Amino acid sequence: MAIMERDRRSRQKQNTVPIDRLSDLPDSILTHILSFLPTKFSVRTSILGQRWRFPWAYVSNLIFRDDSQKSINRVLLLRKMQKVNTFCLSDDDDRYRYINKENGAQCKKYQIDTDTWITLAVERNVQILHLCYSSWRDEDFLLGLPGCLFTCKTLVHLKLESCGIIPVRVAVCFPRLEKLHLLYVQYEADESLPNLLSGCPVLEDMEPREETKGWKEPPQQVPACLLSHLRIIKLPNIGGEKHEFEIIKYLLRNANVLERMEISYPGSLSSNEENNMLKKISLFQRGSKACKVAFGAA
Amino acid sequence: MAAETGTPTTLTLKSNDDELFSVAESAAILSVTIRNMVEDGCAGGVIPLDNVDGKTLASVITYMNGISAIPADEEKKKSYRDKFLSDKDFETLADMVLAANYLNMSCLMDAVSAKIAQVMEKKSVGWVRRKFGIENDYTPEEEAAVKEEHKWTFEGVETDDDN
Repeated sequence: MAIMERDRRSRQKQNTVPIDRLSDLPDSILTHILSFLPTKFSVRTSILGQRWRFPWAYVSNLIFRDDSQKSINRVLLLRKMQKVNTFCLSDDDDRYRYINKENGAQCKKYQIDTDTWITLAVERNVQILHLCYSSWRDEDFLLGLPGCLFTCKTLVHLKLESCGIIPVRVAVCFPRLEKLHLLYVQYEADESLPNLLSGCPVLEDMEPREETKGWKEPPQQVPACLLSHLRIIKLPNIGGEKHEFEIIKYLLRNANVLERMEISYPGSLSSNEENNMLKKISLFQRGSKACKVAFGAA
Repeated sequence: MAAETGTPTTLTLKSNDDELFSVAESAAILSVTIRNMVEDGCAGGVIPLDNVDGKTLASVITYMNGISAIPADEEKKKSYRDKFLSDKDFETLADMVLAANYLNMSCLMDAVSAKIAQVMEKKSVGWVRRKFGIENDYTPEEEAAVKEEHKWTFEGVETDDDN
């Protein structure tokens, strides 16, 4: 009898149903919680119960990871929220690739869709835009970006990886951009990066990978962000070329409020080359007294 | 705002179950709701917080004290937040998100919301229903229709593991 009682109690304990606190939350909090989920998972919560059927459609963040064009288009059609706060698109798993570079028509279709998505995000006042195509790095096909992106007034954080050509002929205007991360992008010309920086007056944090391709010579006019806002600069993959030193020298001299510059170099550098490089850089004049320079092998 | 006297100002907060708590003003004004009361000069006596119970308020005050003791270093603040939330159960997290919303503390609100989202991500529908006690009040036909509508979201990785 006692055993049966214990058994029953332990079964009861296991069966204790937690009180449903989430479904009782007001809509605004529920959509806030859903905004931290990748879009696929926030849409999927609609199956949980009646209360959950529509909140996903009012989430202002769109986070797509390895999702098909069809799925993305479907979400954009079905959602009810006008505003787009965050738009992240990443395609970094080969298994989920939906386009094939050998198929030109497919590439073209993907380009048209991407243009539409970015244009929509820009029109809906996007603040954070990340486009990462790390699995496309070695492909011949480079995804372009629509011109409207480069005059987005609301953008605060832009990250581009393995896509996009940074223009030089069109005006760039990012009045609110604070963070800029560029990895494996292409530059239309040597002046592309200075042209981009001159359109970002309040930029605080930048990481231009392979920056040397878009910046062969220091610009005549110092971009405003360098004088007043830029706090963090990360320069990966510095090999010790002459023009790289020129750029580092220029940045250190002109960035008046710089707090940290992180320079990384290839591990293949000999210790002699490494020492020479560090010595040379540490002697450069610094516009910001508080600036710390950190070196590290990649 | 209280005049600069050199000694830190202390505020008294009252929960909806009549518990009283003392907290340094500098920590309490992380809540925009409390900051507005202080700025409007309504914080002289006891500040009643009608939507927060004592247990949750005690937890929120621990957070206020902890996070305001950390200097402006976003990474250290983040690791404090992660540690602070690591041992909270789902019910407490739901109380915290309501309190953070009422107190208008965006950093706590974001951290708790992200934590709840993180728990739900990549989990099967059954797992989420069980863990959060969500009742499936769809008819089988309705459920099938919703599933059909968002078919693509049911493809791929999902798990019933608790980790």
